[in-house]
Amino acid sequence: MFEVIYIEKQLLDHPRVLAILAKYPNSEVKKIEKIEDVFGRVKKPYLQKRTNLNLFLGEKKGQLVKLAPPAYGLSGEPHYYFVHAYNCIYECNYCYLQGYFHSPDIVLYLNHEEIALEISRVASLFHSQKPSQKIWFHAGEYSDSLALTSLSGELSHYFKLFKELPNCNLELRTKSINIKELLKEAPLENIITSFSLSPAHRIKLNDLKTPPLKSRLEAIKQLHLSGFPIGIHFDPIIYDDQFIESYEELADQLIEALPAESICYISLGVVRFTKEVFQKVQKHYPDSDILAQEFIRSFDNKIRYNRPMRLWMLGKIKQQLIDRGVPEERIYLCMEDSADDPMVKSHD
Amino acid sequence: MKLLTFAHRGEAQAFLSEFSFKPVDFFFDGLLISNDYFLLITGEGPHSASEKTISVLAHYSTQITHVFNLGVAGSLVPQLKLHDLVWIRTSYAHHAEKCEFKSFSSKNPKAINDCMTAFSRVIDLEEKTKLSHFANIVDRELWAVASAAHLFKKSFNALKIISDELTNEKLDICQFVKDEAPLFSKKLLDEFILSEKDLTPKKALKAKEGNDSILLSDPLFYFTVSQSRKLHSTLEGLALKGFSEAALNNETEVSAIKVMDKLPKERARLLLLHLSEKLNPISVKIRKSLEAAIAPLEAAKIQVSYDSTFEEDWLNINLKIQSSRDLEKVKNALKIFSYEDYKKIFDGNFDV
Repeated sequence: MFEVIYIEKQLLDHPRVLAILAKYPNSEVKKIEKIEDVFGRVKKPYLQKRTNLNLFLGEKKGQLVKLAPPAYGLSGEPHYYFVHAYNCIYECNYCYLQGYFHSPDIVLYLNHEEIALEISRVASLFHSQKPSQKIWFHAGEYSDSLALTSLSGELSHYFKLFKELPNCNLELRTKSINIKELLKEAPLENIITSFSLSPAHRIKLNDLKTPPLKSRLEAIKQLHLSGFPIGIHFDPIIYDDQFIESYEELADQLIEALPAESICYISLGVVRFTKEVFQKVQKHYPDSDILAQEFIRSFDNKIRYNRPMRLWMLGKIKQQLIDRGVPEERIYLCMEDSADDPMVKSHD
Repeated sequence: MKLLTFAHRGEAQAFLSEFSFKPVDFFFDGLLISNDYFLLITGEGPHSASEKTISVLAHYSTQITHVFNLGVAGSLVPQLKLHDLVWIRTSYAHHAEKCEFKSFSSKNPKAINDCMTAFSRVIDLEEKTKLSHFANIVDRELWAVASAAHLFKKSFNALKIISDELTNEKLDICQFVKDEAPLFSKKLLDEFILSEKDLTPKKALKAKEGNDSILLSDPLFYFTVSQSRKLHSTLEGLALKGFSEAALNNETEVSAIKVMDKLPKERARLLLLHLSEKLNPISVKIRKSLEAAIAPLEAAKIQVSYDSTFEEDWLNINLKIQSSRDLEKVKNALKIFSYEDYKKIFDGNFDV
């Protein structure tokens, strides 16, 4: 899987590193001073990940926990994210990671204890001013939160930490079905695993190299039955001629795997790109049917479907979910801006 | 035609014999032509390679479709040994202790190795180790040639033969490369000839442009320049949805438009409308809903325009009143018109 594993020199004897190397005995190992000396120093083409994917192991330096932009996630609560990895083993053809780091190689930061300490410090500072308010932390801003947990081994640190932080929520956002590490932990109500879902045919067309819908739903069911709280993202929603029927079917399949009343929240977002990412999609996937639709530059300069169309799409899916018993207050619409609709929350 | 570039004549000698090249009277020596190829001796190093490749591409930009760089290179990794032939995937450069950020990739599926073009010769093992973090082989010209090809929007390909494993052994590498040049060149030629069939570009199923378009060249239609562009982009979108232009041309609806008793310009407008509807049925519904909402205003001869991207819900009206009757008509139309209903369409409330 990994052609070369680059390791920061101080980690060469780290038990986690040794465990990773044991899993990839055929990968070439290169010792480096620090990740930034090699990673992103030259522009490595994104699609080269198909034939030549490398792994970097190091320690995250600088700001370990960052405040998310003002309107991120569920409204009204502060959101922070922490970075324990860069890039993803999957290849979703709409993904903002294409070209983001100038290299598709995977970076795993292994100083989980330091990151956990920083989360704790940020939470304590915040609660000293607003003791009763919930705070959200997000893993996976630049990576899938579960896909490589068997390698990166951070989950036990975060479960231990968040057990002591009942006023903080942690969201693990994923398309993976790698729930093995998660199932080793006792569920906590403030650690929410959130799955991104799309209709089965769209997963085949867009979420390249990801588990199919059926497997994701099975993982959701298994976690739910084991007591883990689950969030859902229908994001990105892509229009095609089967749009209404395929989301009806997806909603039915979801409710079968996870009862409507058990969904912690469900977010809906219509496909959108920055100009740069849109150009990357055109370059990397010129034959994708995503590009068949008309896009416009919208209110925030992002490339989207026109406003009536995207609001119509969000409205249709929201109604489908309400019809199936999902409480309306648990549905939120992301990356939209319509001050007249109280259900429309910004998420950027 | 393809432009084949080599740093030295020695590396090119088998090609010179094989393809009966003749010198071209150009601004500098080293450019030759045969029936199928240009061949350029760039000289050693990125500066010379860049200057000469750019000059040739600028002069023959319409004739040259593809740029090929061939020659010797050093191995940075133990897996690549002397005489190994290596197709290059991505070309990087190292200059003044730093990597150049830009890289250029060939579209050759056989290529699985990357090449670092060093602006100065790599002479010690420390330098070799540093470069090996980025690429498997090192040369002196490829990045400059690839950069020139990129500038002129030409695809590029590169084939290298390992002439040096950059070990600690004391060896006069320049003399060795000179002595071995006939063999290196022959091996490059054999691999090049084998690859020529594989590398023939396959045409993607794309919407045809200009005179190649069936609908655009049909005399029953007359398209303005902007309509031609619109037709092309619509056909491209429909191709992504699986509709070929030939199949669309045979559709009953298109045939019906063709036999309408209308001017070619009007038929072209109707055709575009039909194709747009097929490509973006929702946008057409939105437009129709908006047209229905503003119909009372238009009935009173009020000119109405709205944001063509549908992003903002403003409405611009322009009217001319020449009599009290006109004024009454306008007043009545404005009474009937509901801005709330109009705005609802922008908020996604339209029937589908």
